[in-house]
Amino acid sequence: MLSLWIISTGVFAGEPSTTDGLLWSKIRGLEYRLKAGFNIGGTSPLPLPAEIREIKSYRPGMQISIEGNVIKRFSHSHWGMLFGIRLENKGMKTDARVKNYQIVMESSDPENPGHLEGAWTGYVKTNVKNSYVTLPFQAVYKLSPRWDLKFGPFVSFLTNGDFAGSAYDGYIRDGDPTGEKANVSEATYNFSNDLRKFQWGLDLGGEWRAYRHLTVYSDLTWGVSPIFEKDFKSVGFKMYNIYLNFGFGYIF
Amino acid sequence: MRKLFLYGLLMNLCISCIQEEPLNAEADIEECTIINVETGKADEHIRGNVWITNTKVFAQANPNIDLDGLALQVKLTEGATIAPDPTLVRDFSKPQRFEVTSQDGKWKKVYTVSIDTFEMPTVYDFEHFALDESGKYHTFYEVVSGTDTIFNQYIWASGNSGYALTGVGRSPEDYPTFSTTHGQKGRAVKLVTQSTGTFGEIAKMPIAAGNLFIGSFDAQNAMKAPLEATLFGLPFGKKPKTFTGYYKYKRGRLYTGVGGKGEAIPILGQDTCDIYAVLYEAEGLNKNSLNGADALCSDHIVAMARLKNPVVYASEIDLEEQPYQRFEIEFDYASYQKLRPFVEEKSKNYEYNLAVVFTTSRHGGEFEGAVGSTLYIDQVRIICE
Repeated sequence: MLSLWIISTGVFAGEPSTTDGLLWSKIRGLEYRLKAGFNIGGTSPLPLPAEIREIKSYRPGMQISIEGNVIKRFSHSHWGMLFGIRLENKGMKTDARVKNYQIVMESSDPENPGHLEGAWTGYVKTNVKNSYVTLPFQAVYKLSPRWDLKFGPFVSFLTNGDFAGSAYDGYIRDGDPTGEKANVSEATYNFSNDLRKFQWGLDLGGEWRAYRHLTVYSDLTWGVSPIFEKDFKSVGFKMYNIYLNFGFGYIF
Repeated sequence: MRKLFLYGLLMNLCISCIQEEPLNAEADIEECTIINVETGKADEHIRGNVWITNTKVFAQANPNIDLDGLALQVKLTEGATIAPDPTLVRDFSKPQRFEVTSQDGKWKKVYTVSIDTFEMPTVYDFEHFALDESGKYHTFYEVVSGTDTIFNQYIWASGNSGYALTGVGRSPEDYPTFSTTHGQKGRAVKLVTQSTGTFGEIAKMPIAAGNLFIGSFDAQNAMKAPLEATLFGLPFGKKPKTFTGYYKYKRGRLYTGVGGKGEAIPILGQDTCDIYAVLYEAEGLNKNSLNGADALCSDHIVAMARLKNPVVYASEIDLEEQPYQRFEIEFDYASYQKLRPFVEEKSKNYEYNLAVVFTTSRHGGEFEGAVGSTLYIDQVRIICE
């Protein structure tokens, strides 16, 4: 937590930080904001494929984000530009019931080979906890003295990935639905190493200035690139990060 | 409050996108009863269980069964259809084929239904094997000649179908149980304790012992209850006296058990093969069978012949070069006399089952053994009174 704080404030290291400096910035239409918030959402295929029959449970968990923004306001205009850096977790825990969910798993260890391919019917627990460094780049529109609307792309770099879970209480059919049937009480999986390191997406948000220094904000961040590498085929469909990022901001 | 609202919103979003349930894609015969069309009931001449695997239905019957007066009553996967109509009378003097089509119409599976009216053979030379329907591994069977037919008796089972799931085996010779040309005479069966690779570990089953036995392998439950999945024995109408045959065995280098993550970890002990034949009373047992958990200790046992101290070669020996060892073991009735005396009448009524079991690792059912333990078996006989 402390290190996150240091990294966030480090962004401003090259900027003036005294009251004089802020005044200097204000004259040039520059504004600095520091935000802290939560991510709530899902890492999910879109739309949910027919193989997913039921979401038994969904827990968003505690996914925090810390962000620093620089906003440049254009003079005599409602428009501005935002550049930021956000350190964030995106994650969730789900438990779903699936039917004929096609999976292909290849062992990456040549000493310990294996190839599992088939149709799974039963339950799947997924536990996602990914950390990203995200750089949003947005157009800002000042709706009123208190309201800002924001829209733009972002890029994310994965700093730590964890995508694991288990398949339980069900059966797999070897190869296809007519293959040998094997009941399984529980088998674990871990796809953490198959996560994409670089992603991009779109961000649509709003920020409301509650007090002179305090804002409340909310951003919908919609992943456009799937979370797994291109050659990943263990799960038969692409999954995306779709999260709502919300919290408080401090205006310097 | 706000968080709660968002949470609710997302949950609603998720639930509202659940699509309509697709039709079933599976095409299984889940249950099958062999019906005598005259009585309209299950035929009484069927001995023991009707076995259903992924592609076969197999039953044994007394010779006086009316094979062209039988029909089947089947339970299929919900919504699946079967052709031709199994409820119509068919001549089961030869195997009959049925095609099951899944509810969604996209998948089809052919089942072969055979009713075996011949006595269980007592001479096993392991000359007959075939690739299974998936083409991945060997299965063994015996062949009998009737008056005008040759009939395949699918009496042998192994754990190969379970091993197939791990994807480790690239050819039939990578599986735990396969045919070899290096027999005492002609071909033989070769059993090898194999590593199950990454996915075996995930299932906490890091090794697979080579095994071959008279009976049936319940592949569906092999991962949940591996010991109980080896169903030993088929109905037998004679009194076995002596169990003979040829074998050679070497143990693998490193004896392992199961570690906390399901991996193979070295433990104290040495691998030993197991070769035995057991006669038992089927009535009253779960699935009317002994299995890997109770085959040696059940109070249903009537007689047992077990190789006590097999000759074991060291792991570095080339077993192919070594001669076969002969074994000859008398069936022990005396030890079981008190609890389960042999009754002539029951024997004649096929109330006893006979199981012949070979395995490379005595404790393979608990996944203890040594990868590389190898057992050759050939020219096995059950000599009866």
